[in-house]
Amino acid sequence: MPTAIHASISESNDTVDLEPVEELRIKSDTMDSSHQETPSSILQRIAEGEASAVDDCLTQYGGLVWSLANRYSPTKADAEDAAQEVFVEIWRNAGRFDPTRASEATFISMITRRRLIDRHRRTQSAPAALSISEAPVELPESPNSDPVELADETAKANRCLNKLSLNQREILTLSIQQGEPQSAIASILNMPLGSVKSYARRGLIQLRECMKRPLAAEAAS
Amino acid sequence: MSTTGINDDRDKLELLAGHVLGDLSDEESERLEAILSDNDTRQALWELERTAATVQVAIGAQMDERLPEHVADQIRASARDILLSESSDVEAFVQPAKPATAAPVRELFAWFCAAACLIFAFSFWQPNEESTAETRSSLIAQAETIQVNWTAGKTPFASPVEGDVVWDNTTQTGFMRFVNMPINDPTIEQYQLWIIDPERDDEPIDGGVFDITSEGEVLVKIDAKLAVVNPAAFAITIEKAGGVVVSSQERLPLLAAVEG
Repeated sequence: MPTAIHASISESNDTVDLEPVEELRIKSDTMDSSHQETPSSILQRIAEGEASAVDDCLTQYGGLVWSLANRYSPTKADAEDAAQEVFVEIWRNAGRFDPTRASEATFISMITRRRLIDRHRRTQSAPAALSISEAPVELPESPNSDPVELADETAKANRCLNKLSLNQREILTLSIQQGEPQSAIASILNMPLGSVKSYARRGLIQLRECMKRPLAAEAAS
Repeated sequence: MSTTGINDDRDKLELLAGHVLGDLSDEESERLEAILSDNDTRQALWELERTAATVQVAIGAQMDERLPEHVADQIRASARDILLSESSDVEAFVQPAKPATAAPVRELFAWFCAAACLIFAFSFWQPNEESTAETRSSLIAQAETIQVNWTAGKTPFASPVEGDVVWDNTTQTGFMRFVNMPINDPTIEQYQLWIIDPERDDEPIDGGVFDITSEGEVLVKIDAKLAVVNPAAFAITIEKAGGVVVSSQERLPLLAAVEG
């Protein structure tokens, strides 16, 4: 029994580490005092403990989370469970949101994807494999992004997608938007599973490179 | 950089991309674990995750499915519990962000009244020691209630701690009883309960963060963040102040396994 419990707890390390609550509050206060004219984002308000921000978050992002939960879940009941788990993660990680590094929608989408993929993995793999694949992921330190580029990241993502090959674009769309497992994509496209994996992985790597380029360079390429 | 280096980097990136897309084999997962420790790799992983999330938002912008109201209600309830447990005081939870300018006296008075009412309400809402004990006793009297004793976990306390867990699935309520559990300093570390429920999920359910503030016998109400289906075990870990979403279980002093 203890062995099973050990595996069970360690295999769920899929989320960003939380910082102490007090530390998060100090950061939020600091941010507020230096940008008093700028309204806090929904996640920052949640991190500050503002109850009304929960409703705002559900209104703004409930549809996004629910759409993804539906696509990644085999049943409605599973999607409902998944959506609840995702929002628990969102409440608990709200204090880690940094608007200089990602848009709020992207941050919420990251948390949602991690949780949904983790749930899917758990139904597919043996417990021993899970503890290996679920190593803790911390947000690394990195230079802040250009606010103009952040505001344009959705349009940029669409432009970068259009630069991929047709196969890569089709496979990534099925994988990321529809939540289709790669075995299902291989079947849909009548393609070997190994090819689907390669197209998807290399496509994502190309997208990352394209997204990292400054706006001007990306537009010119 | 050598050709081998380039190939290594490409191989590493493909592993990371596979992880982000959720398509790693068990063998690839093992290889990934071996490379995740360095900062550059974690940076690359974060960028790939961000890329996938951005694309998700970009191509999913047309997704217009509405979160069902009953699910939204459950989420609101869990948010209230979580934010309250992480908030240092009631006022911080109920008040909106402070305005930059000084509030009129009437508004301040209204806030004061609201906060006072809430604190008053909470003094009734939070069960006192006596009613906690009574509720626990009535749970124990029910046939279907689970009651299991604490045993030493993988990192036991220096002095033995006794007690038990009482849990009722029907009402989703339960209590932990500890005798001679070490008092913690909540500004440094806190205890956290995990409910292992394989029928619901492979991942343990967060049962709430709590403090031990006195010697002798202490009762603590269980605060499960998600619905429990059929608990197999309860585990106590020691975590940093505020608790964690995922426990590394480096310090797991107590365990209560439910006999099947």
